[in-house]
Amino acid sequence: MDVIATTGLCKCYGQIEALWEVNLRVGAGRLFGFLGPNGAGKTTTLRVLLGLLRATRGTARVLGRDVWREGPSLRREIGYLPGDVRFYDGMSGRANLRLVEAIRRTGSTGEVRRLAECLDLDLGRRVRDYSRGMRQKLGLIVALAHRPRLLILDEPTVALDPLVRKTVYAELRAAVERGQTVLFSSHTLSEVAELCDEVAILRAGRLIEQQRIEVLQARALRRVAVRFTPGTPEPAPLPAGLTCEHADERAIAGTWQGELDELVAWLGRCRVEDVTITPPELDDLFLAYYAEAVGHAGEVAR
Amino acid sequence: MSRVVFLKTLRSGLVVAVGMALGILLLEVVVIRMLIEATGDLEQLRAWMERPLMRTLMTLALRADPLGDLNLTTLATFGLAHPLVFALSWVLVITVGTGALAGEVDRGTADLLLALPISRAAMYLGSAAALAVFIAMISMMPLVGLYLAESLFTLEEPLHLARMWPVTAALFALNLAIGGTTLLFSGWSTRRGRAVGAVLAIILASELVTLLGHFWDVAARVSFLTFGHYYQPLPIVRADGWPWSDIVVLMAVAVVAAGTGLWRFTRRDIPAA
Repeated sequence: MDVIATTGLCKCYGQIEALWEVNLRVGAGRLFGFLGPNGAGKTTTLRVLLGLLRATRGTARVLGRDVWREGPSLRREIGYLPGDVRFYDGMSGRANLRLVEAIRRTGSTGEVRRLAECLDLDLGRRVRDYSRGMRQKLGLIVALAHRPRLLILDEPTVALDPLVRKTVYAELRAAVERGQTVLFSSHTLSEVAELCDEVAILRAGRLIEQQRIEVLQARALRRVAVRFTPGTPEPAPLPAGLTCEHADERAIAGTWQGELDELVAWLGRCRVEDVTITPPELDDLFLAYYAEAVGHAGEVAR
Repeated sequence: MSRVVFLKTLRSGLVVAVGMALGILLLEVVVIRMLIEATGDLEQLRAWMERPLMRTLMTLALRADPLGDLNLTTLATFGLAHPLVFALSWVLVITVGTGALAGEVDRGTADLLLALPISRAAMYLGSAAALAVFIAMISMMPLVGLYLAESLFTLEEPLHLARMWPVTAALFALNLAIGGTTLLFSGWSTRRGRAVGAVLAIILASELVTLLGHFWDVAARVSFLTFGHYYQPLPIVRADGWPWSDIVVLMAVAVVAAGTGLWRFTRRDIPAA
């Protein structure tokens, strides 16, 4: 069963189509990345899934239930971290967590303590004295502590230092190993590439791609640099997958798309002094999707 | 109704409530102290109140001409009609009412609450219940202040505070109507400032029409649309009965306004802060 399933999901603000015909499927136990340039509609989608926004058209089901009609019972099984997380400033971190637990009617004190230690967060201080990163950590504890079936995280690692990021990655991986599903949006392409097993890319309110990461990696470009042995004859004709960015009689540099066998076979026909082939760079692929969105920038507002 | 939201709203409004309540208590004590001195020489007081401006102001406040039966009890009604009593009460009502819904959306804490297993109706009703508790408390304060003043000072003539109970009930209904209106705009609005502005505009418009109604027939004809039309402290004291029809109208306004706010709040978008 899909944990998240949207069909023809639209959200309009007057004439502005913030989301248009979004058909998103997220399977159980996935670590799912949600990508897109600013204003693409990522946060709008997540808020519709939480029942904070009402879809103009289409359906959104989470864990098999309608997000608008069955929101309260559904949210018992969801952990959510908003993009700009806010708490009651006059209360301590611990008091905020107690309030959350009172509404959830869960006793997750042990897990709260463990997460606070992992993330190195002092829960005794008032939230108004917290830094942005500390608020983010508190938001992560709120989302993770009750071990929900689905985690919806809007840019979870923003404002966190690299060490804490690693801890968060580990927590998310552990959550998936326990059978939880994680959907998170991010601008950090490398973390999506490192963490996720599936991604969806949203642009100008449209879902333009949803694919497993291996498939995208196969599509991604590898950087290739070859230096030929001096005094060798002309190299064999370039294979179709190699796009040359620089070439002279001694070396070529460019990108490779496709299976490596063909490239290796071609290199075997040349006299090569040195060769460098990088792993596939998903960043380039994502940026290619994003680049097409430049023309749409500003069209869509949340 | 969410008990957690109810208690949270009570906690968040407690400091303002205590401040406003103490302010009203102090005001009542001062008013009675001044009246004791003033009623020492009733003729001089009557002469002072017969001045056109004073008479108009007192009539506006008490909704009736006080010169008909000038005594400590009728004058003490001023303690339930003083503009400061309204100001302090409505500061509390507007602060709590807008802080609970529009304020939560504005601050972004609505995201925290509404991402939890709680319905919007439960959140709204929890806030509304806390507001109703504050309204009951603040509406009682003028009467409590009068009882306090009665116990503090030696009175030369009796102060019939039992006749103030129906006025207190009417004041409670009036504050509930203001509270319901506040919830309506608070449930509707994304910005707390806008909700506060809308409620203040309605209150000011209502008071302005009431004021103009004393001088201008057109305003008098539409004054039934104002809050003040249904809160008549001195006529209630003189009638020595319960103003049921006025109370029912004010309660109905409160229920319809709060109900409309609930309807809207459960259907609206909650945008990111």
